Amino acid sequence: MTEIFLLMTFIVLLFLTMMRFSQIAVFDTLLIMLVGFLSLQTYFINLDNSATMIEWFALFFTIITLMLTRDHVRRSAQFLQPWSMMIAASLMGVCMIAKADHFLSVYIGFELMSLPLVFMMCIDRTNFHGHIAGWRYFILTTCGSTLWLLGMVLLYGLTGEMSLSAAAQVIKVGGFPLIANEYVFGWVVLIMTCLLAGFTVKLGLVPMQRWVYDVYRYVPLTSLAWLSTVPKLAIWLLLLKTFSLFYPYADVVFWLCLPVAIGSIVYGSLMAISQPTIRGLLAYSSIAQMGFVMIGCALASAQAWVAATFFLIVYITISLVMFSFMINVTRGDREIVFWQDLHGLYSAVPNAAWIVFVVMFTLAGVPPFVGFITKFAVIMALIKQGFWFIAVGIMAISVVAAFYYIRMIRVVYFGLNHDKQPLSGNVFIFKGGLNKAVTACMLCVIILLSIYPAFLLNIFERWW
Amino acid sequence: MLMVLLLVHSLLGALLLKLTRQVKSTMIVTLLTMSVGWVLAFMLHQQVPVSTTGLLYHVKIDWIQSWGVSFYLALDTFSMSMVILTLFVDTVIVMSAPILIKKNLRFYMSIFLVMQTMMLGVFMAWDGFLYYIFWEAVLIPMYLCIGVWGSEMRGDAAVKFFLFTFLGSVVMLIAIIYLGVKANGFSIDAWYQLKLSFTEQLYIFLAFFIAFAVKIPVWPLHTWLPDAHTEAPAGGSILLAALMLKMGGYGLLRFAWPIAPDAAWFLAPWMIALGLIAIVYVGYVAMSQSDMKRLIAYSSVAHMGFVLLGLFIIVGLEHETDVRMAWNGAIIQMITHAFGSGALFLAFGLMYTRTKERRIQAMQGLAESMPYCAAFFLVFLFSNIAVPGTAGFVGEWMIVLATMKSMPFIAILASLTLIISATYSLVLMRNVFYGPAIQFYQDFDLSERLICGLMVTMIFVIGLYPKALVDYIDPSTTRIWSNIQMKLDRGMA
Repeated sequence: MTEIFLLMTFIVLLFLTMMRFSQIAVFDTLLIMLVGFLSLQTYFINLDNSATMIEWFALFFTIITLMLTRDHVRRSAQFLQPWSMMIAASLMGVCMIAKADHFLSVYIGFELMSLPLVFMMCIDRTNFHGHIAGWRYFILTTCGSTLWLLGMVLLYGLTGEMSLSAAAQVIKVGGFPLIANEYVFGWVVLIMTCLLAGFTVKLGLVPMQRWVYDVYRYVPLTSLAWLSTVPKLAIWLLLLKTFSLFYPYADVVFWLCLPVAIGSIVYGSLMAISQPTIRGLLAYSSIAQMGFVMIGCALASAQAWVAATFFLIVYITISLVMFSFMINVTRGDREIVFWQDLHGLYSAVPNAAWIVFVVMFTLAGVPPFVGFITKFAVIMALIKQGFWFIAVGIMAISVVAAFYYIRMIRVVYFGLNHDKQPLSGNVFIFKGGLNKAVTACMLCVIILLSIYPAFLLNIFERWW
Repeated sequence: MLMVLLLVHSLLGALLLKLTRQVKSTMIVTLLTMSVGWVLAFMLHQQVPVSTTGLLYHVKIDWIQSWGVSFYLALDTFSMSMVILTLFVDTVIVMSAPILIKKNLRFYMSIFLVMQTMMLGVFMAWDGFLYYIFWEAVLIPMYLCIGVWGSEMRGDAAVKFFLFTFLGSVVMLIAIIYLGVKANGFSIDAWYQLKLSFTEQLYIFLAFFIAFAVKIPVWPLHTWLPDAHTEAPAGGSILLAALMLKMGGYGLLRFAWPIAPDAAWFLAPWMIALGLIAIVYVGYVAMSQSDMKRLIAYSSVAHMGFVLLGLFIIVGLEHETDVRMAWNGAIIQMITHAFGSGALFLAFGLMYTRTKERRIQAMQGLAESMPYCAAFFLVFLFSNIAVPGTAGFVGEWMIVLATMKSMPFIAILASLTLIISATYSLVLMRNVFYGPAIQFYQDFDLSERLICGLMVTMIFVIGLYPKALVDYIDPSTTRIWSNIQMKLDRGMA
C-alpha cells in the first residue's frame, strides 16, 4: 500500500519537475502528500506489527526531516527538484525492505533504497568532496549488496526456499535438502558472514565504516539529515528478520555480531576524540551509537531487540535535532564547521545553546535524559544474559565518549578562548520559522521520553 | 503526594524563573520556592508515619513495568535529616547568591533549584534506578555551575569533576543492574531481601564503594575535589562540601552495608585504613597548602575520613549500642561537616568578594578592618577542628569513642588529626586575620551577618544539645543494623 502510494508520489513529482515547477513547489508537494498519507495510516495503525510500525516511523521521520530542511531548500539556489524525487524513491525502498518476505523483493528494496542515496550525496555540483564521498559510498555499498546477495543465494542453497518465512521454517525443523548435515554449521557461518558484511556497510559499522566519515563530513546537510537516519530503521528491521532465522544458532549470531558491535563502539568513541569538526565528531559518534544497536542484535533475545530498537529510534530523533541545529545556526552566512567556533554560543543565542545541551547529554547517556535509559536498556539486556564483564568494558568506553560530548557543552557555555578568531564569520545567526517550531517539538518529545520511556517501550514489546 | 511535591517544587521554581527579568523578581521567586519547600517538609513531618515498614513515609507509582522500575520514594529519619540539611544549605546558598554572583543570576538560581531537586531525589529515592538517575543528574548542574561561574581554570576543573564522578558511577550502574536483574526489580526493599553469595557481595560492594569513594572522597580518589572546590564559585563550593560529599556516606549506609554486609565486614579493615589515610595524610597535605580554598578543601577530605572510619569501625565492637553510637556519629559528622567546611566556604566566598585573593601569603591583618568576618571565620574553624561545644565535636567524639572501644591504637592515630587540623586552621587564622593590616576592606553588612548567623546558630544548637539529633536518627540506624545483623554470617560476639 505504502509503496504504491510512494510510487504515485514519485510519478507526480516527476511530472511536476518536467513541467518546470519551482523546487519549493515540488518539495511542498512531497511534504503535503506524505503528511496526508501518514495521518491516514495513523488512523488505521496496528501497533503489533513491526513492519507497519517501522514504516510509520520512517514516514514520520521523513516528514520531520523535510520540515527541518524546508527553509534551507527554499533559500538555496541549487537545482534540487530531483532531491525530493530521490527521497520518495529511497523511501519506497525503505518501506519495501520493512515489509518484504521474498528474497527478490528484499533485494530490490535494498538497491532501491541505496542508489538514490548516492544521488543525494552528489547533488551539489560545486561540492567536489561530496562527489568523492558519494563515489566511495557507491563502491562500498555495491560491494556490500553483492556480498549480501551472495549470502541470500547461499541461504537458498541451504534451505531451498526463496522467502524468509519459509526459510525460517526449514531451519527451525532442521534436515536440509541439499546440504549434508556435517557441512550445515559451516554454511550457516558463511551465510551469516556474507549477510553481516552487507549490513555493516549499510549501517556504517566496523569494519566497513570507511564511508561514514566522508559522507558525514562533506555531503550537503539537507541530504545528510535524511540519509543518515531513516534508512537505518529499515535495515535494522531486516537485520533482525534475517538473523532471527538462525535462532537455533544463537551462539554463531552472538560471536559474529559482538566483535562488530564492540569494535564499532571502541573505534567510534576513540576516533571522535580527535575530531576538530562537528560533522566528524557526529560521524564517529554515529559509528559508536550504532555499535550499541548492534549489541541488541548480537544478544538475540526479545528484550535485547526491544532495547536496541528503542535505542535506534531515540538516536534518530536526537540526530535530527542536531542536524536541525547545524542547518539553522550559522556564523555569519556559513555553516559552523569546527566545534571550537561554537564558543560563546550561550551568551549569543541561549536557545540554540540549549539544543546542544540536550543533544550532547542525550548522546553521552547522562541521566535524566533518555539517552541514559536507552543505554541502560542495552546494558541490562547484556547483564541479563550474564555478560557483565562486557558491560563493564562498554561503560568504561562510554565514559571516554562522554569526554567529547561534554567538551562541546564546555565550549558552548563556559565561553573560553575569547581571543580565538572564529574561522567562519563572526555573528551567530539562528534562522527560524517552521524548523524552530519542529525542533522545539522534537526536544519536547525527547524530554517526555525521558520522563516516561515506557510509552515507546510498551509498543516495541508487543512486536516480539 | 506531599513527597512528590517536595521533590519537584524546586524544579517548577526553576521553570518559573525563566519568566523573571530583574534581580528582584528572580530573588522573590527563588525565595518563595525555598519557603514552599520548607512548608512542604514541615507538613510531611506532621503526617502520621507509616510505622509497619520502619519507613516514615512512602509513595510508589509504576514507571517502567517490564523492568520492574517504579517511582518509589520513601523516607526514614536518616534520609529526612538529610532532606532538611539540603533545604537548609540551599536556603543559605540562595540567600547569599546576590552578594556572591554578579553575572547571570537567574541562570545561577535555576541551576541551584534544579540541583536541589536532584539532591532531594538522591535522599528520597527508594528504587535503585531512580536513585541512579538522581545521583548522576546532579553532575549536570554542578558541571555548569563550576564551568560558568568559576575562576580561571574552571573549564578543566569542571571536566575533571564530571569525568571522575561519571567513571565512578558507571561502575555502580553495573552493580545496580545486576541487582535489578537478580531481584527482578529495582526496589531497595527487594534488594535487602536478596541472598547473595560472598563473591557476588564482594563485587557489588566494590562497585558501590568506588562510586561512593569518589564522592566522599576517599584517598586516593580525592584528586578531583581540590580542583573543583578551588575553581567553583562560592555557592558551588558550599554545595559540594555541605551536600554532595554526603551522598557518598549516605550511599554506603543505604546500599553498600545492607546489601553486601559480609563483604563490607570482610573489607572493613581496608576501609578503616583508607579512612585513616584520609584523616592523617590528607590532613598533612592540607597543612602545606598556600591557597586558602584548597586548604579548606583538603581539610574537608580529612574530616570526611571520620565518616568512613565511623561506618566501618563497627567490626571490632561488641555491643549493639556501640555500633549505633559509631553510625550515629558518622551520620552526625556528615551533617555537621556542612556547618564546618560548608560554612568556611561561605565565609571565604563573602570575604573573596572584597579581597579578590586566594593566596594565604597575600593577606594579613584582615581582622582589623573586618572584625565580624574574623569572628565568623573563627567560629566556623572551631567547628571544623571539633572544639567542644560546637557541632563538629559531636560526631568526631562519638566516632573516636567507638574506635577506642574497638581498636584503641587507631583511635589514638585518629585523634592526632585534631591536632593537625588545629595546627593548620589556627595558622591560617593567624596569617590571614591577625598581625598588622596591609589593606582595609568593608566588613560584612547586615544581610551577610544574618546568613553567617544562621550557620553559627546551627553550630551551637547541635554542639550544645546533640541529644535531639541523635535521638531522631537513632531509629534508622537501629533498623539498618538489625537488617544487617540478620543477614550477617557471623553475629556479634
